[in-house]
Amino acid sequence: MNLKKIVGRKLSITLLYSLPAVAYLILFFYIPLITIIIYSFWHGEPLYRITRIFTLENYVRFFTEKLSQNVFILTNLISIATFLVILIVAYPIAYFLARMTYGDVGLKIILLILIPLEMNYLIRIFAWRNILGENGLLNNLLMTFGLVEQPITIFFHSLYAIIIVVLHNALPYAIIPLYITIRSIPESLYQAAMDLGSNKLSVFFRVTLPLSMPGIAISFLFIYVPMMGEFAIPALVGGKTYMLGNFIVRQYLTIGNWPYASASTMSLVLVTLIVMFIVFKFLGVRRLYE
Amino acid sequence: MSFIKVFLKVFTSITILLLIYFPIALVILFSLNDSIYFIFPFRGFTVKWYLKLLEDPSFLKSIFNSVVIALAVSAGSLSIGIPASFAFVRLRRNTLFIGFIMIPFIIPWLVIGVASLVFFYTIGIPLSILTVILSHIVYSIPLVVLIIAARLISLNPNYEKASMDLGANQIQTFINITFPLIYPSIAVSALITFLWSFDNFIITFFTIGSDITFPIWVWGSLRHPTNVPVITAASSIVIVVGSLIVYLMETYRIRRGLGVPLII
Amino acid sequence: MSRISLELVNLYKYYGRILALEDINLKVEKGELLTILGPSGSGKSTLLKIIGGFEEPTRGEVYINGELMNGVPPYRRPTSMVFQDLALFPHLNVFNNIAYGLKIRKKPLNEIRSKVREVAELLHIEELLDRKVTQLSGGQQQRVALARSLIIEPEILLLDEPLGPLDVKLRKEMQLELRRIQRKLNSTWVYVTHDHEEAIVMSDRVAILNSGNIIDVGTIREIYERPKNRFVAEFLGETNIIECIVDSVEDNVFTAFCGDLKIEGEASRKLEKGEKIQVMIRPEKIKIIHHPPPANKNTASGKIVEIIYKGAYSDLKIEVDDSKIFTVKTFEPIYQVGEKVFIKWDSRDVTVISG
Repeated sequence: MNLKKIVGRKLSITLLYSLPAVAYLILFFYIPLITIIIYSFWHGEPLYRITRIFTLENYVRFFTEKLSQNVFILTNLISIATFLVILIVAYPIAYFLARMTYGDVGLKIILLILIPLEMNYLIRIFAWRNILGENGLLNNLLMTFGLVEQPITIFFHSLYAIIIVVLHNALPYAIIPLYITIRSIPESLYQAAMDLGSNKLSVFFRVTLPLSMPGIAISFLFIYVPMMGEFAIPALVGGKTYMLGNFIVRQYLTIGNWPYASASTMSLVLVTLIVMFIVFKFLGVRRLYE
Repeated sequence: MSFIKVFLKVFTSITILLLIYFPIALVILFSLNDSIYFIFPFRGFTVKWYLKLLEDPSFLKSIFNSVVIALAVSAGSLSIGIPASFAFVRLRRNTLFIGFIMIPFIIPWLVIGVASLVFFYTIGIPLSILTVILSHIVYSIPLVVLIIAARLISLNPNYEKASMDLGANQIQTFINITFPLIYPSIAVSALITFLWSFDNFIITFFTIGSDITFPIWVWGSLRHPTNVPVITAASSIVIVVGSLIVYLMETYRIRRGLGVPLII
Repeated sequence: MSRISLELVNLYKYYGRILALEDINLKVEKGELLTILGPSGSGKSTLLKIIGGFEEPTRGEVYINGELMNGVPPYRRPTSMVFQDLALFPHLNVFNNIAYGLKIRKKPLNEIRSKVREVAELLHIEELLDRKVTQLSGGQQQRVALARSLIIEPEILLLDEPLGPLDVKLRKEMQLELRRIQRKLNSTWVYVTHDHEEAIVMSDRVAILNSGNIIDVGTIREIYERPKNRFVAEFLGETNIIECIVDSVEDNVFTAFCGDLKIEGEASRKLEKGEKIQVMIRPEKIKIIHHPPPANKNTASGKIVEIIYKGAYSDLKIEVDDSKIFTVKTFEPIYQVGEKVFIKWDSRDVTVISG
């Protein structure tokens, strides 16, 4: 009786505290989301012509049409390839910072990486444009030293440019989770493994790498999810590379088929949530071993 | 062993210098160069791009708008997010509630952008700075909640109990004990939401309409090659001021033991 | 004339369906230091939280000075708690930590200053008032936490194992210090601990708590010498417990057969011939002799099987005729393992602890 009263009071205070956030998110996030869900089931044509009849055609079209299929697959491939490149660069750095520096030196170096990156998203893309571009610094240097005759274009308006820019943008967000997980592996575990006769290489593959899987999984999410919705980087340095983000922007703003654009967006949301769910599930399984 | 260590040290240093700092340093360097191209050799030292920039009314307007938006987003998301973080701590085992608050944080920004665009259009709110603020707060709420709730969870619950035990009621306890103890995390989340909102392009792109913010100004200027040096000058200002703020904030954060910097 | 500071009546506490406290009845007199002694998980911290108002009992009443306290929040109760982890406010210096309760009560600044000085002197921490609490040693932090609670002059001071993290030497010092302060202020303290030696040094009375039940209450001497049951007997230090069958009872004196031994003692309650009982003899009450004793009761012969050196004294483990092991405390370091000895004890040191 008394207990119930207290639990009841605590619960109502909690509800009161969460009310503004819940109300705000319902009004400005969930209702907008529902709005595009509703749009996605309507019939639409270019130039903002919409017929309000229920249809699944937009989803069917998104998953069956060659163009959208290709864009979807390409975007996934780019995201995964970018992640792998970043992982190859970030892992050694995180390992170095976590295992070979003392105190908070590692944290300070991460800070050093982070400072120029917490802001200036477009500025950084802009900088890379001027380095990798046809009239950019790279070609300028290569031609000055006589290494090439003509400006090379492979790094400009290409897939490689996208990967380089994302590598630059996302590096700290891959390093941080890796640093935290590698740092949290107790030193005694390494000593025990060595003691049991593992050499350094096998300690790495049998202890460090498996135990840093949660960090790898989180870095993956930090890179994969934003990449799935990215449109500025491909638009500015990607040349003809056309990612899902560009596809959706074009459907909304240029072609003006909102129902189809909304169905594409919802497919993106769905896929992201599924991938996230799988990754977290996999993380949960890993925790059992720890 | 020592070979590996030396290799990793060199690798880390080169990556940081070449990949992170080199492009940014170039921007600053060429903002002082008397040429519209990023090409060596230097044509000569000049500050004319900065002077030109200060005469550009759209640049000044964009900075002004971005600051207004960032201030509003910071204030709005804090006033909603602080109470929510208390609820978040109490309900942290409730998957439904956590999911509800965190989904705007974990889906791509593009989705928040297009959903807001379609929503505002459908209910007839014209796009403006206001709609940018409203859509930015959607993402900032979970950001604030994450930072402050982390601090609250790590806070010893006996501090509040001891305060009440010594005669302070809930409100006095909040003012004298809880608030001073979580204040650093509030300050940090205010700054982070400010910086994030100032820098955000993807959500703003959909909800700005015909208004302008600094990232939108950069985006627009990129289409005209003759603008390159002006963007370089503007970027240099933002880089220097922004880095200084971030540096101060993050060292404060590490000193206060607020954990690893983590925003995206 | 004594009056009751704290009274707990038929107190029950459930966490969900788990019973944490069962039918607790307890009275604490004004000016008394009562220790709640029990192993971890016995519910002693829960009991303290209920008195302080941090938890509400599921059933039953809490009275302080005769006033019903159920539903009264901690900040309106005349109690103050010294927490296990002390919970010194990390953002305030020592002075402001101590002054906190008075500042909340909006006392004038000069009164606060003089009171802080007064209580700081009592606890010998006048020098520390400007320090940050994070710069203090463990013992200094204890004193600050105590000062912070004492300054509001609580009717009842609650202490939740406050000496836990200190090393043995400092803990012993602080025990005496706490006792001195309590006597000086003549205030009511409820002290929770799992350390029976601490309870012995500090308390006027002890309440023994085990799995949510108060098993025994009394002065430490009463409980030590006449424990109510085996749990209490063993919890208060090493002891010898022997299973016996009553042979005869005459004028409050009983004789019982315990295997090959014959034990005589005072019957603290009514015993029947043939009844199975457990008797207790404390190790320090048993004497070692080198010649066979004249009588054949309250004595035994055996071989020393182990010597546990404890500094000023040693515990001898003596295996008697039928393989029972007796623990005997001795101050003479003259014995060797394997030595044959005789032991004897007094019939008044034999305590019947259960049927």
